[in-house]
Amino acid sequence: MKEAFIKFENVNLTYDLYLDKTNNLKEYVINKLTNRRPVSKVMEKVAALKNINIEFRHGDRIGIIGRNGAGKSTMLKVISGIYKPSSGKLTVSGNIQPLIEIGAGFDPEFTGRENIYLNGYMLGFTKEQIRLKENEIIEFTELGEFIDVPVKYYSSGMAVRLAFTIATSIEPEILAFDEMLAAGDIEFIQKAKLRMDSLITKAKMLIIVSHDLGMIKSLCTKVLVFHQGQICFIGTPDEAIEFYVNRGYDK
Amino acid sequence: MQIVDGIITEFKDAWRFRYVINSFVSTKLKQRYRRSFLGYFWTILAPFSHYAIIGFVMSNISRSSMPNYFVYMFSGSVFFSVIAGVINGAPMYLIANEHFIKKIYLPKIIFVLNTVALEFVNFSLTAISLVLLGMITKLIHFSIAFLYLPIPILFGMLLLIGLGCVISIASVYFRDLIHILPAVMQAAFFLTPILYSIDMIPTKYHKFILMNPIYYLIECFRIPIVQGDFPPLPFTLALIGMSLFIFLFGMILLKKYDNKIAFRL
Repeated sequence: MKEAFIKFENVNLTYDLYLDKTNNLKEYVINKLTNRRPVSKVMEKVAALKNINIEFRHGDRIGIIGRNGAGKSTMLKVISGIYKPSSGKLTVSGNIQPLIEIGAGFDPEFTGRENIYLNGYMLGFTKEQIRLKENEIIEFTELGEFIDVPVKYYSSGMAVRLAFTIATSIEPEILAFDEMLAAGDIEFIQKAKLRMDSLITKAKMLIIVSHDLGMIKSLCTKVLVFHQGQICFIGTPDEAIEFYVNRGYDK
Repeated sequence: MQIVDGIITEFKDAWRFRYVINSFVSTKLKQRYRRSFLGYFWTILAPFSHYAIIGFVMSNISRSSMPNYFVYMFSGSVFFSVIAGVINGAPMYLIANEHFIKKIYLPKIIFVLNTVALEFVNFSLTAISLVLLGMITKLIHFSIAFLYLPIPILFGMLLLIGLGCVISIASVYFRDLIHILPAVMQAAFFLTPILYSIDMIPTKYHKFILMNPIYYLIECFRIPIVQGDFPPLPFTLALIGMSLFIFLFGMILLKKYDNKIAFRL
């Protein structure tokens, strides 16, 4: 088991937001030939994360809060490697499991069983590691013989059950998740909650993005408040929530 | 140097996720034949009937009767169809996988490798069956030159990985490429000596054919099968040179746009 460790050094993330909707060759060529520009500016640089400097250590329980579009989810995606920093340095050590959206890494044409493997492989696991988990996953989902039916024929509750179980069957060192799910029948939600709790307890590091302040308070030991792509407050859950609720970043 | 490092990292990463490709290819193959009565036999039957018709028509209307025309036309067409398959599918490699690209980390080369691998596995099944069929019917004779065949296949894969990268990235920015490419490939089919041989067209047009990388690819695959000979050295060198160039170009483009694609999809 590796030591879980994340370090951001002057990390920035900017991307190009295209303002014109020219996304086909035909219009592009016509515009070039007629020397016509549909809008005055073709694209705009958007700074999604600005100058992030922070270190997360082994045992940290981090909560990230902030308004919509503040950069919370972007931060999680950068940690997971989905986005790469435009500048600055990011060091991540430890196996990371991002739960950004339930069902990411699903192919609806594949059967439930094939999806268990596909998903596992996408998270970087080997066939043997997945085979050990396979039966436990199938049992937990209560899908029975539906496990060998393509996922596109599942009800949404069944799909969520399978996706949730796969995503939570791997015990990573760093667990990062965004707004958790609520689907499936009551019985499953309770089962899911227990499973989630045990996963959270076992994780060496936890990073949660949520609007649910109650959950943040109960799970985290350290909370970051994001505003306009910057970390504007770091503190204990109580301090951070108070800062956030009173809109401290406006003052 | 930074770009070389980038390419090496991409492939190291792809190796780490090799099981994704594995599972994609085997599942797609199973899916394709799952509910069909003839199963894997379709891999042979479908192209065979397609080219048998073309071959029958062409051998009857063309005046110069080439020896072994059927084998000539078949080996060229089968190899061309894998090229066209990859290129025509390429616009969707990244676009269709938007939900993966935005929500999970996977090296982007995986999406190109998935389909290239699938097409080549399919192609191998077809090619092996056709060669066996040719040998049973005595149209093809076993020759030591068959040992050369992995070379056009390997460099064909490199060329198609490069082209796949270029087309799939360009399609993210120009969504209508998917409608343009089939027409381009249709033209490429007739501009490449597949149904005819290069001697059948006027010398002044030869220079255009000699610039076409697909020509060398097909020629290097066809000569061992049809003539039982090794292709001339300049053909091999042209094949290797052009494939490597296009492969590297595709990889450089992929590294350059790696971080931009997720925001434009």
